Amino acid sequence: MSATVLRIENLRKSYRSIKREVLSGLNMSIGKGEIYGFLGPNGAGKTTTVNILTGLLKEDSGVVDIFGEQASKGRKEVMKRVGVVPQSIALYSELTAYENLFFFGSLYGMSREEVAKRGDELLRMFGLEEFRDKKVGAFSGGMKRMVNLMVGILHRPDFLILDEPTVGIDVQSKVLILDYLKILNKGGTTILYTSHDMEEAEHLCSRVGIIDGGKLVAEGTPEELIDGVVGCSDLQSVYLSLTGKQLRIKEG
Amino acid sequence: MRKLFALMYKDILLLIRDRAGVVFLFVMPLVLVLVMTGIGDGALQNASRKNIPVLVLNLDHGEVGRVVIDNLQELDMFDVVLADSLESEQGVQRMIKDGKYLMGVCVPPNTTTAVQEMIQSELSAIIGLDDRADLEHHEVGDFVSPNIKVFIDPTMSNTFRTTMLTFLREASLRIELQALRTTIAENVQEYVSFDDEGVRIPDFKSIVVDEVVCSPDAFRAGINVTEHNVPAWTLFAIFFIVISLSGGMVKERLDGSFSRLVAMSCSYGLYLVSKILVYETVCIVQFLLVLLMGRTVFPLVGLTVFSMHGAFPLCLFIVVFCAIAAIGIGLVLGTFANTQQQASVCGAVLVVVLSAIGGIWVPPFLMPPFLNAISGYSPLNWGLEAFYDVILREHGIESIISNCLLLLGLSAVCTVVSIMGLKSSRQNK
Repeated sequence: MSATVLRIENLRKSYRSIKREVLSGLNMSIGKGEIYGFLGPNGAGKTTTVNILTGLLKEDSGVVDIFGEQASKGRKEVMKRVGVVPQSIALYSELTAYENLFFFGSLYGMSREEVAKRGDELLRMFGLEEFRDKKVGAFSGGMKRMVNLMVGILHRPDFLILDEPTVGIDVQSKVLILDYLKILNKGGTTILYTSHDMEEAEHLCSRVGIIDGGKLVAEGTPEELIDGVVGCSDLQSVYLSLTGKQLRIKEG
Repeated sequence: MRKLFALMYKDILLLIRDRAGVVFLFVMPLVLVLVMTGIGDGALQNASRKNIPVLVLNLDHGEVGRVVIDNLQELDMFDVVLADSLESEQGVQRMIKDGKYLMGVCVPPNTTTAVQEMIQSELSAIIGLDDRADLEHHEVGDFVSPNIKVFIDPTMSNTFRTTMLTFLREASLRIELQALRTTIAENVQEYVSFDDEGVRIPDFKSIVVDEVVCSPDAFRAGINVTEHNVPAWTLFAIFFIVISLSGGMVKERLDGSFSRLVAMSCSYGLYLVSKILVYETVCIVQFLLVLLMGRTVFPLVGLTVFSMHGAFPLCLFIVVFCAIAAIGIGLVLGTFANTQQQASVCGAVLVVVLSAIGGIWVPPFLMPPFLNAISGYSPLNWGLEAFYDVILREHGIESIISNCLLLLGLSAVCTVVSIMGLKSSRQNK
């Protein structure tokens, strides 16, 4: 494996409100240049893991290294190289698309000129240049998702964390986003990608980890996983055979 | 600094894009101050105007009845209507019951004679000027005191009721005293031979009551409505920013933008400092707008011009500290409220309660004892007292520094609690 971008060892986290461990000794690592699909049913621990990586939650125990630095210690410097695209549309609906980009770009330490150049480039790439000065609150769900992604990649991060970035949007927007992620990856960006869409993950990801009950239950390339389970012809059937068909209630 | 400016730029944009919020923050205080001062001024004017009609039935036709009517007419507060067509106190009572007048006074028949006889008898008994035989027939207890009756409509305010009763009691004392002096003079004249002019007992006043207003301005007689309402309702508006501030914070937490800020290594302290600076500016602008209105609009609508008696810098100083306290409360509310509705309802109720016990609506000395006792714990009271110190008592910075430190202390505690709350949300859910 190439240089490690993310290393997680024996990560544990429990919530007081539900009185059980959501992450019970998670181990995983992502190498440079990978698109790592992080899959699992509701309540399996995906978002908790992402929240620990992004600093929103503090782990109970375990090690989280990003670019070889312990995330909890040198977070400020490390996070400059990390882009985060949360599951929710984390934008200010009263601000325009450009104002959102300008604001978050400034927090990344980018100059006005840098934000203007990069922002216009991204708006053009996603076909939103004519909506540059329109309030985000008036955008469609797909357009909001695109701006949400733009904010995460504005500062050209080396490692991009995406939490279900295509949920609830139309096929055209989804294809546009996935195509752009492939371009980013070819440019050297490592991607951690969480999703419920198995087909999407199968086509996009170079490696996939399936989490259930706070632990990885399988890991490998999509092909390796499909070949490894008898009678499975796609990632979805592998996923179902590993995690079961019963409904999951999201906790935490 | 770049991050701080970016956060402030974002907060300012969010504030000005919310038109209803702008009205709430900047127009509401103006309306509030104008309306409350107008109402207060109107009430005060009415209280001093001769506009309360009082029905007076004088059945005495002597000195007492005449003095009561003359003195009532001299009093600016009441408009005396003589009930010449009525024949008894029942008539006056009926008129009040029917709501035709708010107050009625009835001086019973022969009041003057009764007072004179009573005094004559009492005096004679004390100094032994009368025959022993006469005295047996005129024991003090034999006299029935004349009874002036005041009929009051239940809707009449306590202020006017108390004023009328106090006035009549004082008038009665004066009449009795005058009658006593006259009787003494007559009796002394009868037994001691003086010149033709007779005995004169001087109308001296041995006790003088002087009013001393404890203000450098010797001509100032009490607070006027403008001097209370402008600072009081400005404070109320300043503290009302907790609704806007906490609502905005809750919205940022719920829509995920706050999480994104944390993920971008934006510190909680920086996030809160941005809010503090922006809302501090909002409060100062609020104060300046109210001040401008007090100076320019008030005289146009017949209200007293608001004057700070040269204490503008100190007033601004107080506003800065009050705003810091209000922001602190807003930060705590914004950190711990789960929904925007929760933040706005809790914020509104909290500010109304703090303002009520703080003396914004009614001065603390008029409150029941237990509320008066807790009044000093309201940050609005600290701010209001500081305003009184510099505007009315014309004190310097040394007299307001303790209240300003209290406001700053409250803000510091709130900010620390807020940061701890935000940090603890990282640990657990």
